[in-house]
Amino acid sequence: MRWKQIEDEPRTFALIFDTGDEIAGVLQQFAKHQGLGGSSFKAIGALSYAKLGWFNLKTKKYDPACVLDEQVELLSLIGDIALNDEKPQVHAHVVVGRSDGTAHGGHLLEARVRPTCELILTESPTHLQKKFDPKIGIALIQI
Amino acid sequence: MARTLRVLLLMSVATVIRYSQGTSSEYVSPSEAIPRGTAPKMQVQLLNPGESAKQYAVIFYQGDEALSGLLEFAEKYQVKSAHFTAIGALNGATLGWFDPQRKMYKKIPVVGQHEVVGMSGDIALYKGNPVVHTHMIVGSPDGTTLAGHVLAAYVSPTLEVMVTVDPTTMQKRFDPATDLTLIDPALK
Repeated sequence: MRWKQIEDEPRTFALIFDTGDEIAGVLQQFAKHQGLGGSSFKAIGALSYAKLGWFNLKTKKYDPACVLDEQVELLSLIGDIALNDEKPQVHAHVVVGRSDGTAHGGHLLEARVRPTCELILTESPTHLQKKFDPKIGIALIQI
Repeated sequence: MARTLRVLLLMSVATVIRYSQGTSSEYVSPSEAIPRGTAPKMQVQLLNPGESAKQYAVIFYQGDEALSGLLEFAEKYQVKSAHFTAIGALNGATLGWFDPQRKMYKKIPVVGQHEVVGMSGDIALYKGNPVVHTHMIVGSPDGTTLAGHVLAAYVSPTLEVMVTVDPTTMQKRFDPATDLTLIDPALK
Protein backbone atom coordinates (compact mmCIF):
# COMPACT_ATOMS: atom_id res chain seq x y z
CA MET A 1 0.00 0.00 0.00
CA ARG A 2 1.28 3.48 -0.89
CA TRP A 3 -0.15 6.66 0.58
CA LYS A 4 0.09 10.42 0.22
CA GLN A 5 -1.31 13.32 2.23
CA ILE A 6 -3.37 15.31 -0.27
CA GLU A 7 -4.75 18.07 1.95
CA ASP A 8 -3.71 19.72 5.23
CA GLU A 9 -7.01 21.14 6.50
CA PRO A 10 -8.74 18.83 7.17
CA ARG A 11 -5.89 16.27 7.01
CA THR A 12 -6.76 14.05 4.05
CA PHE A 13 -4.90 11.00 2.75
CA ALA A 14 -5.05 8.95 -0.44
CA LEU A 15 -4.22 5.29 0.18
CA ILE A 16 -3.52 3.16 -2.88
CA PHE A 17 -3.59 -0.58 -2.33
CA ASP A 18 -1.89 -3.07 -4.67
CA THR A 19 -2.59 -6.66 -5.69
CA GLY A 20 -2.39 -8.93 -2.67
CA ASP A 21 -2.90 -6.22 0.00
CA GLU A 22 -5.48 -7.09 2.65
CA ILE A 23 -7.51 -3.92 3.30
CA ALA A 24 -8.74 -4.40 6.90
CA GLY A 25 -5.32 -5.22 8.35
CA VAL A 26 -3.41 -2.54 6.41
CA LEU A 27 -5.98 0.12 7.34
CA GLN A 28 -5.81 -0.80 11.04
CA GLN A 29 -1.98 -0.45 10.95
CA PHE A 30 -2.15 2.87 9.10
CA ALA A 31 -4.62 4.24 11.67
CA LYS A 32 -2.28 3.22 14.51
CA HIS A 33 0.82 4.75 12.83
CA GLN A 34 -0.92 8.06 12.05
CA GLY A 35 -2.79 8.19 15.37
CA LEU A 36 -6.16 8.60 13.65
CA GLY A 37 -8.96 8.95 16.20
CA GLY A 38 -11.86 10.57 14.39
CA SER A 39 -11.81 9.80 10.69
CA SER A 40 -13.99 8.66 7.85
CA PHE A 41 -13.12 7.11 4.52
CA LYS A 42 -14.50 5.71 1.31
CA ALA A 43 -13.00 3.60 -1.43
CA ILE A 44 -13.57 1.77 -4.70
CA GLY A 45 -11.49 -0.85 -6.47
CA ALA A 46 -11.51 -4.58 -7.13
CA LEU A 47 -10.83 -7.71 -5.07
CA SER A 48 -9.78 -11.31 -5.60
CA TYR A 49 -11.26 -12.42 -2.25
CA ALA A 50 -13.80 -10.97 0.21
CA LYS A 51 -15.12 -12.21 3.54
CA LEU A 52 -18.18 -10.30 4.75
CA GLY A 53 -19.85 -10.34 8.16
CA TRP A 54 -23.39 -9.88 9.45
CA PHE A 55 -23.85 -8.81 13.07
CA ASN A 56 -25.89 -11.32 15.03
CA LEU A 57 -27.61 -9.48 17.90
CA LYS A 58 -28.43 -12.76 19.63
CA THR A 59 -24.88 -14.16 19.78
CA LYS A 60 -23.35 -10.62 19.83
CA LYS A 61 -20.84 -11.73 17.20
CA TYR A 62 -20.28 -11.24 13.48
CA ASP A 63 -21.52 -14.27 11.57
CA PRO A 64 -19.66 -14.88 8.29
CA ALA A 65 -22.32 -13.70 5.80
CA CYS A 66 -20.45 -14.87 2.72
CA VAL A 67 -17.02 -15.66 1.38
CA LEU A 68 -16.40 -14.73 -2.24
CA ASP A 69 -13.23 -16.42 -3.49
CA GLU A 70 -13.44 -14.82 -6.94
CA GLN A 71 -12.76 -11.56 -8.74
CA VAL A 72 -15.31 -8.92 -7.66
CA GLU A 73 -15.64 -5.16 -8.11
CA LEU A 74 -15.35 -3.23 -4.85
CA LEU A 75 -18.39 -1.02 -5.48
CA SER A 76 -18.39 0.78 -2.17
CA LEU A 77 -16.28 0.73 0.95
CA ILE A 78 -17.39 3.18 3.63
CA GLY A 79 -15.99 3.39 7.11
CA ASP A 80 -14.87 5.34 10.12
CA ILE A 81 -12.19 5.25 12.82
CA ALA A 82 -12.81 5.94 16.51
CA LEU A 83 -10.76 5.34 19.67
CA ASN A 84 -11.53 2.27 21.77
CA ASP A 85 -9.39 2.17 24.94
CA GLU A 86 -7.06 4.80 23.38
CA LYS A 87 -6.49 2.58 20.34
CA PRO A 88 -7.86 3.41 16.88
CA GLN A 89 -10.55 1.00 15.77
CA VAL A 90 -11.46 0.74 12.11
CA HIS A 91 -15.12 0.03 11.24
CA ALA A 92 -15.88 -0.58 7.57
CA HIS A 93 -18.66 -1.99 5.40
CA VAL A 94 -18.34 -3.12 1.80
CA VAL A 95 -20.53 -3.76 -1.22
CA VAL A 96 -19.03 -5.94 -3.95
CA GLY A 97 -20.31 -6.77 -7.42
CA ARG A 98 -19.95 -10.23 -8.96
CA SER A 99 -19.36 -10.93 -12.66
CA ASP A 100 -23.14 -11.05 -13.30
CA GLY A 101 -23.68 -7.64 -11.64
CA THR A 102 -25.41 -8.91 -8.50
CA ALA A 103 -24.25 -7.26 -5.30
CA HIS A 104 -23.19 -8.68 -1.94
CA GLY A 105 -22.51 -6.61 1.12
CA GLY A 106 -21.54 -6.79 4.77
CA HIS A 107 -19.18 -5.82 7.55
CA LEU A 108 -15.57 -5.92 6.28
CA LEU A 109 -13.81 -8.95 7.76
CA GLU A 110 -11.22 -9.57 5.04
CA ALA A 111 -10.67 -8.17 1.54
CA ARG A 112 -7.76 -9.01 -0.74
CA VAL A 113 -7.06 -6.43 -3.46
CA ARG A 114 -6.59 -7.21 -7.18
CA PRO A 115 -5.52 -5.04 -8.95
CA THR A 116 -6.12 -1.81 -7.04
CA CYS A 117 -8.12 -0.09 -4.33
CA GLU A 118 -8.28 3.70 -4.07
CA LEU A 119 -9.19 4.99 -0.63
CA ILE A 120 -9.65 8.61 0.48
CA LEU A 121 -9.51 9.21 4.22
CA THR A 122 -10.35 12.48 6.00
CA GLU A 123 -9.27 13.07 9.56
CA SER A 124 -10.99 15.44 11.94
CA PRO A 125 -9.23 17.32 14.74
CA THR A 126 -11.70 16.02 17.34
CA HIS A 127 -11.41 12.35 18.20
CA LEU A 128 -14.38 10.02 18.59
CA GLN A 129 -14.50 7.63 21.53
CA LYS A 130 -16.02 4.16 21.59
CA LYS A 131 -17.32 2.46 24.70
CA PHE A 132 -18.16 -1.20 25.19
CA ASP A 133 -21.92 -1.69 25.38
CA PRO A 134 -22.57 -4.91 27.37
CA LYS A 135 -26.15 -5.10 26.06
CA ILE A 136 -25.02 -5.11 22.42
CA GLY A 137 -21.72 -6.93 22.90
CA ILE A 138 -19.55 -4.48 20.91
CA ALA A 139 -18.07 -1.01 21.43
CA LEU A 140 -20.26 1.83 20.09
CA ILE A 141 -19.29 5.46 19.49
CA GLN A 142 -20.33 7.50 22.53
CA ILE A 143 -20.64 11.29 22.53
CA MET B 1 -67.59 29.92 2.79
CA ALA B 2 -66.88 29.53 -0.94
CA ARG B 3 -63.19 29.28 -0.16
CA THR B 4 -63.78 26.55 2.43
CA LEU B 5 -65.91 24.61 -0.05
CA ARG B 6 -63.22 24.92 -2.69
CA VAL B 7 -60.57 23.61 -0.30
CA LEU B 8 -62.82 20.70 0.71
CA LEU B 9 -63.49 19.90 -2.93
CA LEU B 10 -59.75 19.96 -3.73
CA MET B 11 -59.04 17.70 -0.76
CA SER B 12 -61.62 15.15 -1.80
CA VAL B 13 -60.36 15.18 -5.38
CA ALA B 14 -56.82 14.64 -4.08
CA THR B 15 -58.06 11.74 -1.93
CA VAL B 16 -59.80 10.14 -4.89
CA ILE B 17 -56.66 10.47 -7.03
CA ARG B 18 -54.57 8.91 -4.27
CA TYR B 19 -57.06 6.09 -3.79
CA SER B 20 -57.40 5.33 -7.48
CA GLN B 21 -53.64 4.95 -7.78
CA GLY B 22 -53.68 2.43 -4.94
CA THR B 23 -51.06 4.38 -3.06
CA SER B 24 -51.86 3.70 0.55
CA SER B 25 -49.79 0.56 1.04
CA GLU B 26 -47.47 0.14 -1.90
CA TYR B 27 -46.56 3.67 -2.93
CA VAL B 28 -45.36 6.80 -1.20
CA SER B 29 -45.61 10.31 -2.59
CA PRO B 30 -42.33 12.27 -2.70
CA SER B 31 -44.08 15.06 -0.79
CA GLU B 32 -45.02 12.80 2.13
CA ALA B 33 -44.13 14.61 5.36
CA ILE B 34 -41.33 13.19 7.52
CA PRO B 35 -42.21 12.93 11.21
CA ARG B 36 -40.10 14.40 14.02
CA GLY B 37 -39.15 12.94 17.37
CA THR B 38 -38.59 9.38 16.18
CA ALA B 39 -34.82 9.34 16.87
CA PRO B 40 -34.71 10.17 20.61
CA LYS B 41 -31.28 8.61 21.21
CA MET B 42 -29.48 10.46 18.38
CA GLN B 43 -26.28 12.25 19.43
CA VAL B 44 -24.23 14.83 17.53
CA GLN B 45 -20.56 15.79 17.85
CA LEU B 46 -18.86 18.64 16.00
CA LEU B 47 -15.64 17.08 14.67
CA ASN B 48 -14.19 20.06 12.82
CA PRO B 49 -15.31 23.63 13.52
CA GLY B 50 -13.46 24.88 10.39
CA GLU B 51 -15.52 27.41 8.47
CA SER B 52 -14.68 25.92 5.07
CA ALA B 53 -15.59 22.31 5.89
CA LYS B 54 -17.43 21.78 9.15
CA GLN B 55 -17.69 18.07 10.04
CA TYR B 56 -20.13 16.32 12.35
CA ALA B 57 -20.56 12.77 13.60
CA VAL B 58 -24.28 12.00 13.95
CA ILE B 59 -24.67 8.73 15.85
CA PHE B 60 -27.95 6.81 16.12
CA TYR B 61 -28.78 4.04 18.58
CA GLN B 62 -31.25 1.16 19.00
CA GLY B 63 -34.75 2.07 17.82
CA ASP B 64 -33.93 5.49 16.31
CA GLU B 65 -35.48 6.26 12.92
CA ALA B 66 -32.57 7.62 10.91
CA LEU B 67 -34.22 9.73 8.18
CA SER B 68 -36.28 11.83 10.57
CA GLY B 69 -33.24 12.04 12.86
CA LEU B 70 -31.07 13.45 10.08
CA LEU B 71 -33.74 16.01 9.25
CA GLU B 72 -33.94 17.06 12.90
CA PHE B 73 -30.14 17.30 13.00
CA ALA B 74 -30.17 19.59 9.92
CA GLU B 75 -32.87 21.81 11.43
CA LYS B 76 -31.28 22.04 14.89
CA TYR B 77 -27.74 22.73 13.62
CA GLN B 78 -28.93 24.97 10.78
CA VAL B 79 -27.26 22.83 8.14
CA LYS B 80 -28.14 24.28 4.74
CA SER B 81 -26.01 22.06 2.52
CA ALA B 82 -23.99 18.96 3.28
CA HIS B 83 -23.03 15.50 2.09
CA PHE B 84 -22.59 12.38 4.18
CA THR B 85 -21.73 8.69 4.24
CA ALA B 86 -22.78 6.17 6.86
CA ILE B 87 -22.46 2.56 7.97
CA GLY B 88 -24.22 0.60 10.69
CA ALA B 89 -27.08 -1.83 11.02
CA LEU B 90 -30.86 -1.75 11.20
CA ASN B 91 -33.86 -3.84 12.10
CA GLY B 92 -36.56 -3.01 9.59
CA ALA B 93 -36.64 -0.30 6.95
CA THR B 94 -38.75 1.00 4.10
CA LEU B 95 -36.75 1.74 0.99
CA GLY B 96 -38.18 3.25 -2.17
CA TRP B 97 -37.88 2.90 -5.92
CA PHE B 98 -39.01 5.95 -7.86
CA ASP B 99 -41.66 5.14 -10.43
CA PRO B 100 -41.50 7.97 -13.01
CA GLN B 101 -44.94 7.07 -14.42
CA ARG B 102 -46.72 7.32 -11.08
CA LYS B 103 -44.35 10.00 -9.73
CA MET B 104 -44.21 8.04 -6.49
CA TYR B 105 -41.85 5.82 -4.57
CA LYS B 106 -42.72 2.13 -4.69
CA LYS B 107 -42.10 0.76 -1.22
CA ILE B 108 -39.41 -1.90 -0.76
CA PRO B 109 -39.86 -3.42 2.69
CA VAL B 110 -36.74 -4.56 4.55
CA VAL B 111 -37.70 -7.02 7.29
CA GLY B 112 -35.40 -8.00 10.15
CA GLN B 113 -31.77 -7.35 11.05
CA HIS B 114 -29.58 -6.08 8.16
CA GLU B 115 -26.16 -4.45 7.90
CA VAL B 116 -26.24 -0.94 6.41
CA VAL B 117 -23.39 -1.73 4.03
CA GLY B 118 -23.45 1.63 2.29
CA MET B 119 -25.41 4.81 2.80
CA SER B 120 -24.75 8.14 1.16
CA GLY B 121 -26.74 11.29 0.76
CA ASP B 122 -26.96 15.04 0.77
CA ILE B 123 -28.77 17.93 2.40
CA ALA B 124 -29.97 20.96 0.45
CA LEU B 125 -32.49 23.77 0.98
CA TYR B 126 -36.02 23.91 -0.41
CA LYS B 127 -37.87 27.18 0.32
CA GLY B 128 -35.55 27.82 3.25
CA ASN B 129 -35.96 24.38 4.84
CA PRO B 130 -33.39 21.56 4.77
CA VAL B 131 -34.24 18.44 2.75
CA VAL B 132 -32.41 15.16 3.36
CA HIS B 133 -31.92 12.87 0.35
CA THR B 134 -30.29 9.53 1.03
CA HIS B 135 -29.89 6.11 -0.52
CA MET B 136 -28.73 2.90 1.12
CA ILE B 137 -27.66 -0.66 0.41
CA VAL B 138 -28.44 -3.23 3.09
CA GLY B 139 -26.91 -6.68 3.57
CA SER B 140 -28.86 -9.81 4.59
CA PRO B 141 -27.46 -12.59 6.80
CA ASP B 142 -26.26 -14.37 3.63
CA GLY B 143 -24.60 -11.25 2.21
CA THR B 144 -27.19 -10.65 -0.51
CA THR B 145 -28.37 -7.05 -0.82
CA LEU B 146 -31.36 -4.78 -1.20
CA ALA B 147 -31.07 -1.11 -2.00
CA GLY B 148 -33.10 2.02 -2.55
CA HIS B 149 -34.13 5.53 -1.59
CA VAL B 150 -34.51 5.74 2.21
CA LEU B 151 -38.09 6.34 3.38
CA ALA B 152 -37.54 5.03 6.95
CA ALA B 153 -34.75 3.06 8.65
CA TYR B 154 -34.94 1.70 12.20
CA VAL B 155 -31.43 1.56 13.66
CA SER B 156 -30.18 -1.57 15.49
CA PRO B 157 -27.78 -1.26 17.29
CA THR B 158 -26.04 1.78 15.79
CA LEU B 159 -25.67 3.94 12.68
CA GLU B 160 -22.60 6.18 12.27
CA VAL B 161 -23.20 9.11 9.92
CA MET B 162 -20.22 11.31 9.00
CA VAL B 163 -21.46 14.67 7.74
CA THR B 164 -19.41 17.30 5.88
CA VAL B 165 -21.12 20.70 5.69
CA ASP B 166 -20.63 22.45 2.36
CA PRO B 167 -19.68 26.15 2.55
CA THR B 168 -21.94 27.09 -0.38
CA THR B 169 -25.68 26.48 -0.07
CA MET B 170 -27.39 24.24 -2.62
CA GLN B 171 -31.00 25.12 -3.41
CA LYS B 172 -33.74 22.79 -4.57
CA ARG B 173 -36.69 23.61 -6.80
CA PHE B 174 -39.92 21.72 -7.41
CA ASP B 175 -39.85 19.75 -10.65
CA PRO B 176 -43.42 19.32 -11.97
CA ALA B 177 -42.33 16.58 -14.39
CA THR B 178 -41.48 14.27 -11.48
CA ASP B 179 -43.10 15.93 -8.44
CA LEU B 180 -39.63 15.83 -6.82
CA THR B 181 -37.57 18.67 -5.42
CA LEU B 182 -34.33 18.68 -7.39
CA ILE B 183 -31.07 20.53 -6.72
CA ASP B 184 -30.73 23.46 -9.11
CA PRO B 185 -27.17 24.89 -9.13
CA ALA B 186 -28.44 28.03 -10.89
CA LEU B 187 -30.77 28.91 -7.98
CA LYS B 188 -29.24 31.42 -5.58
